[in-house]
Amino acid sequence: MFNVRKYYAIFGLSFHHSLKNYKALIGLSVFLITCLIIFAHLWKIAAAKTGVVNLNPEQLLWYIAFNEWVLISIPETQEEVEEDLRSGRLAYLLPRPVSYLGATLAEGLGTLCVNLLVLGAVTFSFTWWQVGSLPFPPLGLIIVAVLGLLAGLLALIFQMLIGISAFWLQEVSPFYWIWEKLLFMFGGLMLPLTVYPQWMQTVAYFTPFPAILGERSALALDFNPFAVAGLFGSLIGWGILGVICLSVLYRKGLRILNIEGG
Amino acid sequence: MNTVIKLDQLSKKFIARETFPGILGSIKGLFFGNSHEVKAIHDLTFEIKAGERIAFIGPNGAGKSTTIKMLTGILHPSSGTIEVLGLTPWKDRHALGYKIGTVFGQRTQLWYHLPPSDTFDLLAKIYEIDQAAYQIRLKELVELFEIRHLLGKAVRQLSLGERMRCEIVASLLHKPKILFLDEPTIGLDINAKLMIRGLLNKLSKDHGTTLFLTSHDTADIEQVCDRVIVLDKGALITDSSLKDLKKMYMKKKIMKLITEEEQLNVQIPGVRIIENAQHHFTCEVDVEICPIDRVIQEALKLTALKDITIEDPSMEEVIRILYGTKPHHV
Repeated sequence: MFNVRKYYAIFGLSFHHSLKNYKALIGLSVFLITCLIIFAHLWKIAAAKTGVVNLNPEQLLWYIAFNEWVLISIPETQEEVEEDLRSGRLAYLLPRPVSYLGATLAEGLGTLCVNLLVLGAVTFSFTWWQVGSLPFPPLGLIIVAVLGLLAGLLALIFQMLIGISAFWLQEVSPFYWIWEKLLFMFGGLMLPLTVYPQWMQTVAYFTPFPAILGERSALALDFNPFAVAGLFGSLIGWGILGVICLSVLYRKGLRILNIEGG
Repeated sequence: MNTVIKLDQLSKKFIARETFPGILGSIKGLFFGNSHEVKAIHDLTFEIKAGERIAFIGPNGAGKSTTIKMLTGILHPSSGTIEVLGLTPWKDRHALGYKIGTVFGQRTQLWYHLPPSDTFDLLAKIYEIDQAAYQIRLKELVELFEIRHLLGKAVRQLSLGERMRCEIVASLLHKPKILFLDEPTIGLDINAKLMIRGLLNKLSKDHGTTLFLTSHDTADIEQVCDRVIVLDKGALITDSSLKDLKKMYMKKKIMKLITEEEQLNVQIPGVRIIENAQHHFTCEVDVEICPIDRVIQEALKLTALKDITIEDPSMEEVIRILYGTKPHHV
């Protein structure tokens, strides 16, 4: 029987573990600030010289900050899953009375939450210091935080899917590389999707990438309830699809383990 | 004693895909790769009683991991039956999980930046152990494994030996009836190895836990186990008590003599001289060809003896001989 308390305990311990690993958090924070400084300058110059995008650089900084905040917070769970599968560790985790997928997700979520909290504070402080105002009412910050958590969770589910593909591919890093680049491009990491050619926007909205990054961060440019509702729907819909795919592929993968050996 | 593990004509086949060398070979493999059946385990039959301490050994690729994976319910057998604690592992993996424990020397279940006690608390929740029962069990294991002073230290600060003691405690919290151990002393120093072996013995004697140990370290086998099951090429080679195994295979003895005379010249069939230095004579005696007492008698004819030492060949030597034995079915 699915016992939520077990997964909550794993989540809690992972949260605690990630907090103790403060050196990693410092490293991520430094990286995040570096990215934000570079992009802030890039956008100021681009806006001033080319006028390519008719958007306020301050709003754009919030946009990029919201993107980078979630992007850098997502733990590299696909690497852990790949390692479990390739090293045979999975075989030793399976006899435990807890679902492997559930435990991995709970563990990843624990790390994600710590990263989101710490990097969220860093992002907010830096961007506020640069801009001096919020792009939406203070209540919007809570909504953006919740959406950030859901977006991180969605990315975590898809990264677990990439990790699970090690049942067939053994080495998943090339596929993670492709995923990451697609996320940067169709997620609108550096440019809001609205400035993309129409066909790219159309393609992007058939993928989960905008929900993870650009669509959510675009609330910094235009905060409206319809966009928020649409985004919640999109994140939950893609999340359900991801979990179904994960569950199906995992079962198929275990069958392969049984047929072809570990 | 109850039977806790029962294997009857257990076999496992895998499908192996053919691969070709080089980049072109990889592409070719995508379209023209043939697959063939590999027999990983064939007709394995044995029973294990509660409280036994089993060394389950064999050379690399012998099928040990595959058998353990079937015993723990991860793999289904291709044919034959398997029963662990009255359950069919691949059908009842979840239920079996509460009754067995696993310790894998090269894989940790402890959280690196946290003290072991945090992992213990988590495992108590995963195994749904009642809080009061958990506290009693933890106290008992902490004393047995002498880890009280380690409970508050981060795992990263523990030595390998300390970490392994904590690993074993983590695997025993839910009172497993069978403990599967895979190379539990790998990488440990001599003292830590001795301590782990002593603790496993104590655990087995005091708590009646069945130990199922896989190790390439013959001292683990010698000091912990009372029965040895040897596998090669997926089939059973030997299943015997450690005592019988030694008797069966230890037909050679190493004899060391300290002599009155400087040199000793003994030429007897079945005796191979290893060292003949000043007052020190060492030889290997094949007791099937030449009894030990005959060597002593012959030596006494030539010199007075100050000291005699007779040693069995090492367990390593026995295992080496066993690995060269053909499987029963071949």
